[in-house]
Amino acid sequence: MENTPVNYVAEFTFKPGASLRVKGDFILKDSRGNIIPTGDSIKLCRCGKTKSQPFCDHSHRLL
Amino acid sequence: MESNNRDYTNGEITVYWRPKLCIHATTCYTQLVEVFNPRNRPWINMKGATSERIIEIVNKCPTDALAFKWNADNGLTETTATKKVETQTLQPAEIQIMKDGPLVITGKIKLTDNDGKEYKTYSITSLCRCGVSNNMPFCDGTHRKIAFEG
Repeated sequence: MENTPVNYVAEFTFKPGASLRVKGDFILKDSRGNIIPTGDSIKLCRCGKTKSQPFCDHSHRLL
Repeated sequence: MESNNRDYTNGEITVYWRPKLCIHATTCYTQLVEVFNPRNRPWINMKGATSERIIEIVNKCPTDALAFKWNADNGLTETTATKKVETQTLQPAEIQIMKDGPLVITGKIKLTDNDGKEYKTYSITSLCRCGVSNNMPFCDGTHRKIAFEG
């Protein structure tokens, strides 16, 4: 498995009931198409309750 | 027999709608609402644009939910052959936030849960952002029912 060529540019890992981790080479765009500057690893909200959309602020813990 | 399947024609081409295959990438109605309008019934208006323009948008559908054929063909739906050719250049993945809707991700990505289980992705993948999809982690359109804002 270690020699398997990488054929993806970004890794998306989600935790059921929690956030989505994005790592790698990606561009994030808001709903108007503007680029949101980020580092190369971010956590996005999946529960809909964050107060800092689109990023996770751990509000899912309160659900 | 899928009773929700629909075929629409303008005499020149026929567009095939297979709702079960839709992953809600929203490409069709965000780019050509004159033809693809989910608020209307029927939701596809074949008089809303030229055949060429309709084909262009159908070809952008990341799944086979939308397909077409030229009526003169009298043959099989040949769209899958042409539409599924993916560019192999590894450009950055693009994560588009849809207003009050999902994350729409374009590009070659790897999607796993935190146990390492891998999920199949397409050239366009829509992920739930509202928290209530019945097909996690993917969007199933439920955000509209709960009037998600974000």
